[in-house]
Amino acid sequence: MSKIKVVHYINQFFGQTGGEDKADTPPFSVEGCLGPGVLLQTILGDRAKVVGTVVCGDNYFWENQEQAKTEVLDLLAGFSPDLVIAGPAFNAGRYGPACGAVCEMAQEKLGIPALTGLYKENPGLELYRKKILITRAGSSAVSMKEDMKRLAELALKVYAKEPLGGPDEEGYYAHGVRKNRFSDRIAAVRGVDMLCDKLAGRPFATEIRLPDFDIVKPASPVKNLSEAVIALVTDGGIVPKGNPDRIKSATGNTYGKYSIAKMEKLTPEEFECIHAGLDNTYGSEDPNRFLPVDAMRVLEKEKLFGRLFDYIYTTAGCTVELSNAKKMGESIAADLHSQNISAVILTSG
Amino acid sequence: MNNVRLEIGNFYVEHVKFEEITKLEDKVLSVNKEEILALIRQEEHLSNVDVNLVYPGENSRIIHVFDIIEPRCKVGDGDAYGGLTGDIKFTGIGRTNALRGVGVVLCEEINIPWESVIQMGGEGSEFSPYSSLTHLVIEAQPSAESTAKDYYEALMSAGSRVGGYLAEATRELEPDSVEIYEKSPLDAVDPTLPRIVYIYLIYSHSDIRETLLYGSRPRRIFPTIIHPNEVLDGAVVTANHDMPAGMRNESLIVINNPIIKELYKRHGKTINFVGVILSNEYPEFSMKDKCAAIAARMAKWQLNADGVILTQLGGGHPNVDLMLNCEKCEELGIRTTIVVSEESDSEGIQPPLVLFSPKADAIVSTGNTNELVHYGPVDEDKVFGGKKFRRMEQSIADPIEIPIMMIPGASSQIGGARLQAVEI
Repeated sequence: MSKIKVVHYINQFFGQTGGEDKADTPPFSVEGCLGPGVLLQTILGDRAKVVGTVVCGDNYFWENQEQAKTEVLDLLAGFSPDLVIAGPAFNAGRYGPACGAVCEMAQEKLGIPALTGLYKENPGLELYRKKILITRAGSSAVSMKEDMKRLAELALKVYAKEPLGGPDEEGYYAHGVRKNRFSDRIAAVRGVDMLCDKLAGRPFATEIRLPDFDIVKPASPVKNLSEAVIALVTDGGIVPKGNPDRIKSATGNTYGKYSIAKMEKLTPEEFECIHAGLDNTYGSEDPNRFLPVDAMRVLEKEKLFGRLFDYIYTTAGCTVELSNAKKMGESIAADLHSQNISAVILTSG
Repeated sequence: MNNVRLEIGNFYVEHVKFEEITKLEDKVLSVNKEEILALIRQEEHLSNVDVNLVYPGENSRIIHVFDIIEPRCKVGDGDAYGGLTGDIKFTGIGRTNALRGVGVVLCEEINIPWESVIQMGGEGSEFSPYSSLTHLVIEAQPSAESTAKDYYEALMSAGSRVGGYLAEATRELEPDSVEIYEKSPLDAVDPTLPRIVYIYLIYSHSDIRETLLYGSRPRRIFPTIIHPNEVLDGAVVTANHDMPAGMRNESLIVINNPIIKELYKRHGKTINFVGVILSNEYPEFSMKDKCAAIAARMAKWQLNADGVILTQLGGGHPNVDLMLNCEKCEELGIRTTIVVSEESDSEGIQPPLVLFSPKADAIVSTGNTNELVHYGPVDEDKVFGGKKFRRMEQSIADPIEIPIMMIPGASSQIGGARLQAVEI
């Protein structure tokens, strides 16, 4: 029986090309192992063979994005590997995400298992933990031996399709993906059990843990309000009557941009509310409740601010996937930026 | 003497059939179809009424499920559904008979933009707890001049009429078993047992997004103490008519609130179940914040709670009420646990809740409501409740992929199901 063919991915430092000065090294490959690959082969023993090593400079990888990825992928594929092992990359801020990207590519494009090892604070962890299996590693190469062993052993298990134990047991990071299953007890019983454990000081395990949210830095305040151009944006689902662009009432991923030029206010004859997460009656009766064009026109005449932008942006923010919400927000922001809008009043449904 | 005592007489039904005379004998419920139709036709806002029996384990399906009502009647005086009718005098005390194993299902035919499908047998049937009941399925359309509100209220009224009518068959009979719910502040409970309060968050916003309390709309109430017997005897009725199943919470489970039943089970033994606080999930943040503070104080200052268990009704914004209540309780030294359904995406990648508090360290999950379930195909002539799906291309007997959110009872927000999401 032929041995499992492993390809090892490392950066310029571990590939013995050089340090920071060589971070722009383009990708290359060698037969067999290099640098820490020797340790990897020792751990794998007879079970697998490191048939090749692919090396790439950390800066080259990130500065050349798609091209670098293609080049690395071609080099990996050239060895016809059964399994890819990247790093471990400890706490290295570019190397870690590069290992993550390489493993994701190998999984998706070559259809083979690919694992890496990262320190818990490595930025590559949050970027890739949902897509690939990442093992725990220390913050520096001081713990190389045990980290490589953990990585190699789990990689072999994954290759052999053996059932894995839990994250703590096996030494990997939970993907952070939610998956349904049936418990032996109804939720009410589990809830009372958990409360009683908590009160008695017994250990308990929460079923939903605090996720990591983006911290968004707020923009600076408007310098000169009297000259400011202000735009109205809403997720209250106010659309032109008949919803001509078929914006979805829930789980949507599109928004509309509509002219309000010369309108003193929005009227129920021309606009309606289509948000599936609230009673539409009030929004349809008077759409200004969500997009206060009427109030803005009064203040505009009083010269409190420069002028009201001629377009409104709208979507229905009901059960919209976070990633789609982000994309829509980025698109609207880019559009507003290109029109030199000073500020936005954002209303919610 | 303790007269806050509710007895629920259980009558287990194993089969239901249409017959001349309505009666319950040897666990078989016979039902006169014409009398049922006549009852429902008393509702002026319903027309084109039809009634069918649907059995567990068959290759059948019920779609456009609006509500499921447990047939009940009060032996002696009083309405079994005081939450709808406003009858207070005997709600929470005396004897109430319940037919177990039977549901009165109401199907709606206005275009509520969700599916709501119970798979009665075959692949996917294990997700709804209601697939193991026998259902009397009522289909009716709105009358010509009826508004959506008229129609929904007529459906609820018809459901409780029919539920009451069916349960009448038990009036002279001996129950198979009796559950006793007896609790008063004068109970001599071991003072070393932890004192637990249940904060029951309800959704009262508009005519069709409502939780009724004794027939009234608690839109602007402050948190209030309610006796658990009142909840178990029908004082609270959810009427979130245009919400998807996972947020609607069927009448059958609301009247059997699983959190209350579990707390009652342990009362006096391992815990002191001190009481229930009802609190509305206000639309505006200032009131959410205020009510959370008031509820926490009530739990601590009035009820001397050591621990609080929290549930919500509804979707995204009630997560805010949940977390605020959790925080305010923890700040007063009350330890909390939350039971909540999750709204990640179908892959389970997005965050499960819209808001978190670092103080919420003990959360029980009732499952990711956006995960999809596969329903196998069913017999063409065994689909009840409608003629076509609202959001899906397939025809109603086809195999389908349906999110947990649209399966009645699957992710029960008050803890009645075994589904949970875990992190992988």
